[in-house]
Amino acid sequence: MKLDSKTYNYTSKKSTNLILVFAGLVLLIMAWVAGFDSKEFYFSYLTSFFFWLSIILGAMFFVFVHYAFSATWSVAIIRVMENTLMLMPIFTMLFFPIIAGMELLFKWLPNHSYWLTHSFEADHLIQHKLPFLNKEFFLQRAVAYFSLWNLIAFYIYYTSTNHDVTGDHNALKKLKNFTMSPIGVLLFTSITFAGLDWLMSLDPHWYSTMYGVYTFAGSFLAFLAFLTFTLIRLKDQGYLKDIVSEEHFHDLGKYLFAFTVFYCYIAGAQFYFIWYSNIPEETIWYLHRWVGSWKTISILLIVGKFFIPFFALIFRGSKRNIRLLQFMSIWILFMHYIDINFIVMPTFHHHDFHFGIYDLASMLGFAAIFIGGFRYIMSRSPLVPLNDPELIHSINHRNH
Amino acid sequence: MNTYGVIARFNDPVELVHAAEKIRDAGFTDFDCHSPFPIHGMDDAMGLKRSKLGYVIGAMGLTGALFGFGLQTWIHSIEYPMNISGKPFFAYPAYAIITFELMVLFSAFGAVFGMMYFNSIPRFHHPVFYSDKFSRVTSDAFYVSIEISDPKYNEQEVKSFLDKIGGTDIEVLKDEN
Repeated sequence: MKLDSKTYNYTSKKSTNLILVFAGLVLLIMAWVAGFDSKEFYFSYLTSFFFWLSIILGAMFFVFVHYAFSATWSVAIIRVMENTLMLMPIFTMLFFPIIAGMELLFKWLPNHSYWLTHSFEADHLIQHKLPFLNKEFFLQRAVAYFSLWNLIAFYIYYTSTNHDVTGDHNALKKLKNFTMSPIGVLLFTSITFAGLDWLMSLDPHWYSTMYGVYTFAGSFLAFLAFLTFTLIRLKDQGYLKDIVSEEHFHDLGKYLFAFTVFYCYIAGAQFYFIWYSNIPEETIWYLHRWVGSWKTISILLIVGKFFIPFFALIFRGSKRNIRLLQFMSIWILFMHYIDINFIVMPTFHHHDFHFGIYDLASMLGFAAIFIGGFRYIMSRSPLVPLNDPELIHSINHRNH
Repeated sequence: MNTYGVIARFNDPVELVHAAEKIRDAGFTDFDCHSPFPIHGMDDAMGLKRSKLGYVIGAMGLTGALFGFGLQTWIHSIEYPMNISGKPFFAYPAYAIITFELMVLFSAFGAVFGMMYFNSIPRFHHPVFYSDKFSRVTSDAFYVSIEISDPKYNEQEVKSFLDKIGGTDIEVLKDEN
């Protein structure tokens, strides 16, 4: 079998992509300058930041699973996931505004405006958590997460792309060893703690033991939707013809379906535990999300993030229908944004859901950086790992 | 002496798949393939349609979920309402787990019994066992059987057809009395 090199070499104008990244950065900086002292900006920024970062974290999980189990079916689509990883360096830099706005975001800092009217020393729950939630340790942890994620991104991306050039199959062995090593455990620990640090600690009185896996479930689902959408887009543009087939989309559809259910299971379990036990400092989190238009958002999440994808993707025919999958992947990404907004924003907009200029600016800024950067990285290497001996099996992959 | 059909042996799974394709293309509908293990691609080779089992499981799952939810609603809010930790009588979040469990249970029943129904099991005897050599199919033989109920069945033609496509040990299945 001969593959047409036009279908696996992504061509995209370097200047356009870099201008897109630059425009995104300018937009974010403008928003930051305008909202330097406003809480609203930092909350919006954190929402968008976590939305796009979670796609990269989901990609890391997929890449780890792929190499650790020497998966065959996903060989044809692995490079697209690896390209996502290389956005990590730029997202490391984009974390700085969050550090700058820490005292506006996180209530557990003694300088937060909440303590102007309340006594910091008298708050036992916060005092109890101070050994973990303090500025120094928070920053050290952030450094640790980003070093780890960058290490993973660079190691996997460069080992895999070098394999294309050298053809030395030791690369696959190295990747397998790397992904099977304790780094995998560290990765999932870091995703859990990043969720705790950046999202759960926004409301430091509240805690949930399901939170880490909740962050992970949402991230992975968002990544799967992003991957499906990207592959469909690439195919529409004429790439990956004869490489990625209906069979791969069928499997991605199964993945989307399965993780829709998994997300619902985790989010549901978190809710049931809190609902059953009915302890005030736990239920308050849901109570904040059950007032005003937040109630509508909560119901939208139940219907839109579970029931709609569940019934849309349950049939075999719909998993093989590329247009439906494309729609569902956009829908799931949209619902993921609503989900992150639902997690972050009620801490700031106490009464109503609100989509303001800062939300729009940071969302557009991050989208421009992500898409521009992603297209640029994609054009730097072939879209499939050309020297992987399993590539042919992946191309001929069939669902039985 | 009743006749039930014709069987033929093939050497390996690949030959069996090709034989199945030829039999399918010749227009036979009531035939079966027997092998010691499942063979990928056999469904297509035999021209079998996708199993309807999924729909049975789906329907059973939905029934189970509705039954579970209905049962709890009836018990807790109509038949024997009790105040449990101040929750409302119709405390639907609490019903989710039993609803889910009954959905799984009913789906599992649907899967197992539906599978048995579609495969017509349990079944204590099958005409292919009139052949003594056929018992090798559980270890190293690959057999095709064309049954007498097939509209195109004609003993001589079927025998020569199976011979032509590479079958060996061709036998006509007959009972003893």
